[in-house]
Formats: sequence, structure tokens, C-alpha cells
Amino acid sequence: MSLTDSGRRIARLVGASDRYALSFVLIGLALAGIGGYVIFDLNTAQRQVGQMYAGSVRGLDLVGELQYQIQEARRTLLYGLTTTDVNRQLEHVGRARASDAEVFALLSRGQALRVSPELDEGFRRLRQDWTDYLTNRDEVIASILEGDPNQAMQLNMESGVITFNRVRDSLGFIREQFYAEADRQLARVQSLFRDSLGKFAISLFLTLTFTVFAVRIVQRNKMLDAVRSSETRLREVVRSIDEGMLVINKNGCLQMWNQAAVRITGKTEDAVLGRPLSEVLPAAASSTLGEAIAQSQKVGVGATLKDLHLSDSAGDRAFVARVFPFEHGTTVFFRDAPVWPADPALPPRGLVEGTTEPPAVGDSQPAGPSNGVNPAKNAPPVVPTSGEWEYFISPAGRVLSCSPDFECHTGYPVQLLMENPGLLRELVVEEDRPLWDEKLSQSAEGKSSPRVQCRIRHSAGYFIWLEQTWEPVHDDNGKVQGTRICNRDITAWKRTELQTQKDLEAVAHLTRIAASSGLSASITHELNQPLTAILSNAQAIQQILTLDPPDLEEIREAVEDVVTDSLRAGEVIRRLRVLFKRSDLAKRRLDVNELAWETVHLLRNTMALQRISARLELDASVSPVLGDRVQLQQVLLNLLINAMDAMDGERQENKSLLIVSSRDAGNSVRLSVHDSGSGLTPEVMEQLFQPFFTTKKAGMGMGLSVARSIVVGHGGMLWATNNPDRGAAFHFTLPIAGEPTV
Amino acid sequence: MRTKGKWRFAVFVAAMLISLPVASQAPQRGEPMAVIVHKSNPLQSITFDELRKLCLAERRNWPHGRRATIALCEIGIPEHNAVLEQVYGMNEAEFNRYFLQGTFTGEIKATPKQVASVAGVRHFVFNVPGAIGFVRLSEVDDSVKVLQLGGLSPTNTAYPLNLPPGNSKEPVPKAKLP
Repeated sequence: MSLTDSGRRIARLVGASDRYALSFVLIGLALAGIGGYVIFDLNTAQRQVGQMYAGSVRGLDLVGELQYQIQEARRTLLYGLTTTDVNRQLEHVGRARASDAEVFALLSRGQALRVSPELDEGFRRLRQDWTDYLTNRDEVIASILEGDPNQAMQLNMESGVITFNRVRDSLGFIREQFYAEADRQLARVQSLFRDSLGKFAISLFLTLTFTVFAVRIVQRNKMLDAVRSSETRLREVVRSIDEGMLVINKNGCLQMWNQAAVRITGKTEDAVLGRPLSEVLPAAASSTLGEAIAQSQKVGVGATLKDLHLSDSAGDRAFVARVFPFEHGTTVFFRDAPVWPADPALPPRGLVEGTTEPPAVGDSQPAGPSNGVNPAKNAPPVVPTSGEWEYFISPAGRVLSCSPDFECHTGYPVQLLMENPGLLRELVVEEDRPLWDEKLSQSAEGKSSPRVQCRIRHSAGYFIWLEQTWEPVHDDNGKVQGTRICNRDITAWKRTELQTQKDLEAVAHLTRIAASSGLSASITHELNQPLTAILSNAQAIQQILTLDPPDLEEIREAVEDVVTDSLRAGEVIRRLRVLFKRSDLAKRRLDVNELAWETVHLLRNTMALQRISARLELDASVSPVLGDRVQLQQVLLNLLINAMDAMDGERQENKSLLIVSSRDAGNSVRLSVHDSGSGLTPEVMEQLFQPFFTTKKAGMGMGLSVARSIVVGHGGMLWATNNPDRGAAFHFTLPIAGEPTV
Repeated sequence: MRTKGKWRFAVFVAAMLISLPVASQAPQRGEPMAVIVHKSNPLQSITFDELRKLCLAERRNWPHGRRATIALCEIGIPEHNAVLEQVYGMNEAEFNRYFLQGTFTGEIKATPKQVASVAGVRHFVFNVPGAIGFVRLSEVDDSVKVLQLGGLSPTNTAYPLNLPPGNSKEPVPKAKLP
């Protein structure tokens, strides 16, 4: 991102924050207010709880302490009655009086609480009662210490108990008052808690509402910005389209009309927007286009109108229109129609080449232009963008049902196919009809056939490639009711494949020529041997002819040798011609062992010159493969020459070559070439099959790349490994002939 | 500085030597013992004879009608011996025999209460309105009332009831009162 872009982005953000600032300030103030209110409420609750603690809890604690001290005073006094020892009596009396002092101190604290008038009165009464009790108690103490327990008991029973009960009642009254006060305060705290809870809930609700509101504001503004930005970009894109473009809504009114449309039709945007199609385009064109739009909306796929006519001041012009439905309307692109070839047998642009044959429809078949079923003549065909369709046929081959797309792909109406049982077979090109018949019979037996490739003729005359899946349909009893055939148009793919094949062949030819340098020694030797023999025999014949009489038998044998050697030389030349000839791919059944023998034979003299010992371990039971002899020989030749080059520089006893053939897993045959060179490093192994990668000084780097392409083209694989002891090995597999390859 | 200190020491020694003969010539007298009663007791003074009658239980009640109860320290405390010697005019054996005989014959209803400490005597008097006790003057506090004896307060040099000399300190009480 450039500095300018960054600056713009920051400026945009600052601008956005300005817009949102007021909203956020208001929301922040509201949240701060709510927070302050909640804090105030919590503070009030805390104060109430503190008051409750100071009033009721402390009061009840004080009551408990008072009760203990009063009981202690009473108890210790009664202990004094249980002994005659004056010292023990004095001890108990002292404790009782200490409790008296505590009681008075507690009473003073209680009166200082000032919780309620009732409690103040209760404390005053308790103090009075306690004072009365102490007066009586002093008499009891005196009697005890004077050694008159009877009088002490009598005093205690007569008035001591009464006054003490009054003290106890007063204490009970105080306790009840404190309990009542505690209940009142607890009720107040609970009420406050409920109020706080309600306020908190309201605050929470308001906070969430404000937050949601803020988020919605931000989201809305961001969305608006995004929509504006997208709208601007969309307008720029639409303006840049050099095809006419229009968008029609569900009601059939125009919503978009670009500059190219203005240029093509001469109608401005203001003049057409919001108006129905019929008011914008000529009646015929709007009708045709309207139907195409309705149909594409119905099926949900795009369509192409190849012959849309618009009339204006410039005259009648043909257009190609492409219709794309979407949820709320339809987009239409239109441009000038290309000029089609005059000969209807020639394929339109963009279809497979070399299909100039006219439709091969029999006399009995109502197909072809002569029968008036060429849709291109009558109405522009609607070609859906989907490339698949299917039909269901009876075991006898009669079409029982068919997808509507059949018409789009073949140019023949479905109705015609249904009315003519033999039409479907007639549409298949002649070379592929045996395959059709074979698959029909297999499906009648209940066998399915995946990925069957065949060609059918279009009503316009060219053929299209199909990949079919034959799937028999059984009834409840297992009887075959018919076959469902799913078709996929692979014409474009086939065209690419054919082109690739041609390119491969061209490269292979080049590499074969390049490999000829590796064969030069062999070629020289192969030709030199018979030529030398021919020369020797010719010279021998010359000498024999000088004899009188000449030995005719010798001459006859020499001539036979000459013939044999000439044939041998011719064979060598023929093989070389085959190797260097640029011919089309011709796959035939061939024996890989024979291929190996033949290739090694070609190189045997080179091997001998380089002192390389070759060994063949060929499995006689391997099945024939389906392939092009020249191409496969080229592969093996490449591997052998590479192996020989890899051993260059090695000692003689180390130069050995091993060719192995075997049956591989998965119904294929494997051929392996092992050398005893230095092997392959991991770096080399990684790039071995890449084009233009070579380790040779004079290499092109195409040999192994082409070899792999050839093997893959034959349905096999080519790879390399290092031998366990030394050297490298190259392996390739080829499928056995008779496997399901069409 | 050293000279000034020496002078001070010389003056102190001289004063001590001068005062020694004077002290030896005065009569021997211990700390006075106060006669204490309950604060509610209306009496301010009592004669020695009345005190002796109360102590010997010859007289049972106070003039205002309240029964009199005698509180003494236990044996071994100087106040005990001083009261027996100076009030009762008896030794310990005579004291025991007197009250045993009186109790046996029924003439004496209540014997003196013997308390474990001087403070106990004070507490006893504080708690019993008709009680009378004897404590050294330094042990007297506001909780009790001190009676004049024969019109003489304990601080008077002619006060007749005193501890023997050399018993100014009270022994450790047997049990400490709260």
C-alpha cells in the first residue's frame, strides 16, 4: 500500500470517527450516569447494612453479654451459699460484684446506642430493676458473710428471686425490641436490595440498549460506506464493459443500461431506465429476448441468443446476447454477432476442428437440414451453460425419456428423438457405433460402463465428443428395465487433448532426431556389415566368373548371400525410416519383450563399442499392451541411451545394463532399465522429468520429459529409483491390451 | 565538683549522728490500726470499752439495732495478734478457749470471722453493714468508714491501737481476692 493510500485510509477513519463521536459521547455520558446511579445505590445499601450492624447486631450482642454477666452475678452469689468458709464466700461475693460493674457498663453502652425510644425505656427499666435487685442482693451477701445462710436463703427467696425475675423480664423485653428492630432493618435492607436489583436490571437493559444502538450505528455507517464504495466500483466496471449490458428486474423493467448499450442502440440511460423491455427494443427482439429471459429464470441457468436482430437507422443488425438470471432479475450482455461460415456443414467458431463431415442421417431418419429440423434456421437455439444431460433407453435401444437439454446440445428436438427409435444410434458417428452396440448389449446384461467416450453428430453437421456413463436400471426381480445414460460434453477437453497429442508428437519427433546421434555408431555398423558382405560376395562372383568354366553353384550361393545382405540392409533402413518418420499416433497390440529385443538390437553395436554388457530378463508370460510402437520404442531408446551415458567413465567390468520385463500389479506390464552408473542424487531425482533439465553437456533436457508424456499418454507411469547396490533404474508401466480403454 | 560532693556527704553523716539519740529516747509505737465499719454505720466514734464489749460478744448489736459482726485477720498476721493483745487482752489460746466456752454455753451466738488477709477484712466490712474490722491505717480506702477510738483518730499520736513496731508491712495474703 502506498503512502497516499495510507493517508486516505487514515483520513477516512478520522472522518468516520467525527461522525460517530457525538453518538459515542452521548452513550458514554449515559453509561457514566447509570454507573454513578448504581454506585450511589450500592453506597446507600452499604450504609443501611452498617446501620443494621450498629443497631441490631451490636444490640443483640450487647444483650447476650448482659445476660451472661447477670447470670454470672447471680450464679456466683449462689455459690457463696454453698460454703461456710468466709474466704471462699468473699471470693464469690467479689466475683458477683465484678459482674455488677460489668452489667452497669453494658447498660450504659446500651443506653448510648439510642436505637429506639422503646429500647431506651427498656434499658432504663433494666437499670432500675438491676439496682433493686442489687439492694436485695446486698442483704443476702451480708447474711451469707455473717454466717446466717438461712436468712440469706429466706431473703433470696422472698425478694431476690422476684427482683431478679424482673431483671430477666426487662432483659427479655430488650432482646425482643432488638429482634424487632433487626427485623425492621432486615426488611429495609431487603427492600433496598430488591430496589437495587431492579435498578441494576434497568441499568443493564439500558446499557445493552445503548451498546446495541451504538453498534448498529457503526455497522450501518460502515455498511453504507461499503455499499457506496461497491456501487461506485460497480458503475466503473459496468462503464468499462465494451458489450452492451442491461439489467431487468422481476417486473420486466430496465434497471441498468451501460454506455456500450447507449452506443449500440443510440438510446440514453434516462430514456430506458424504469421502462419495460418492449418499449426499449423492437418487438421481435424484445419478444425473443423476453422468452429467453423467462426460460432462463425458470430453469435457473444462463442462456445464449445467437441471432438477435435489432433494427435502427443503421439497418438490421444481428447480435449475440447472453442472459444470466439472478435472484432479483436478469442481466443481459449483447454484442454484434460474428459472421458465421456460409457452409452449414462447417462447425461454428469455438468447436472441435476437423469435423467437416455432413450429418450422417439415414433416409428413413427425419433429421438434418433437409428435414427442417435445423433450429439455427428457424429460431435461435437457447444453449444452457450446463454441459450434462441424460436419457433413459430400453434394452432394445428405444429412448423412453430424455432431458430437455438434449436439444440444446444436438440441435434435434426431443420429440423427434422420442418418435424415431433409431435416431439416437444414427447420431453416433459411424466409427463409434460398434462401441455403442457393445455397450448396449452389455447394459442389457446388467453391466454398467463408466466413462465411455464417443462422438455424436450435431444437426449442424459437426460432431461433439461425449463422455457417457451407462447404468442399467433393474426392477424388483432383478430384470433389466433399461439403461440410464448420463452424457457430458467433453468436446473442448478433447480438442485440447488432441492438440496436446499433436504437440507431443512434434516434440517426440524432434527428440528422436536428436537421439539419432546416439544411434549413429549402430547405424553405421548395421549398414556397414551387409554392405561389406555384399561387396565381398560381389568380388567373389567376379573372381569366380574369371574361371573357366565358372562354378555356377558358388555363384548362386554368393548371389543368395548378396540378396540376403541387401534385404538385411533394407530392413535396417526401413526401421530407421520408421523411427524418424513423423506419423500420427497408431495404437496397436504389441509385445513389450519384442520391443525390448528390437531396441537393444538397435543399440547393440554402440554398446559393444562402449564395452557395455547388456542382459535381458524378460518374462515370457507378460501380456501384450496397447500402444504406439514407435513412441514406446523411443521411450525405451531414451532410457537405454541415458543408461549408457550414465556409465560413461566407469571401468569396463562395472559397465552392465539390465532390461527386465514383468507383470505389474493392476493389470499392467512393467519394463525396467537398470544401469551400474553412479546413481541419481536427490537434487537430480527431483528435477529429472522436468523439461530442459539435463546433466549432459550436449543434452536437450527433453528426453525424459517426452518419455514420461508418452507413457502417461498410454495410461502408464514412468519413474526412477536408485539400485540397492549401485546405479539407477528407470521403470515404466503400460496397461495390458483389452482393458477398458476406448 | 569533687569538693562539693564531699561536703554534702559530711553534712548527711552529721545529721544522722545528731538525730540518733533523740529517736532512741521516744516511746516505741507501730503503725496505727483503724477500726473500720460499713459506710452505712451511723457511728462516728466508739470508746475502747464499747469496742471491747462488741469484740467479746458481750454486746451483740449496734446502737442503731444492726447486728455486729467482728472481722479479724487470720493467725500469723500482725493485725490478728495486735487485736488479741490490745483489744481482747488475750493470747491465742485464751481467745480460742473464750469463744469455745461461750459458744458451748450458748452465751455467744456468733464468733469473730477470721479472714485470710487485711484486704479480705476490708472487703468483709464493705459487704456486711453490721461488720467491724481492724486494719492498719495504710490499708484503709473509701469502701469503708474509720471510727474514732475514744475520740481519737488513728493519726493521733495518743491513738491507743497500734501495730507492734517492726510490722509495718503486711504479709502476703493466702488468697488474693478478686
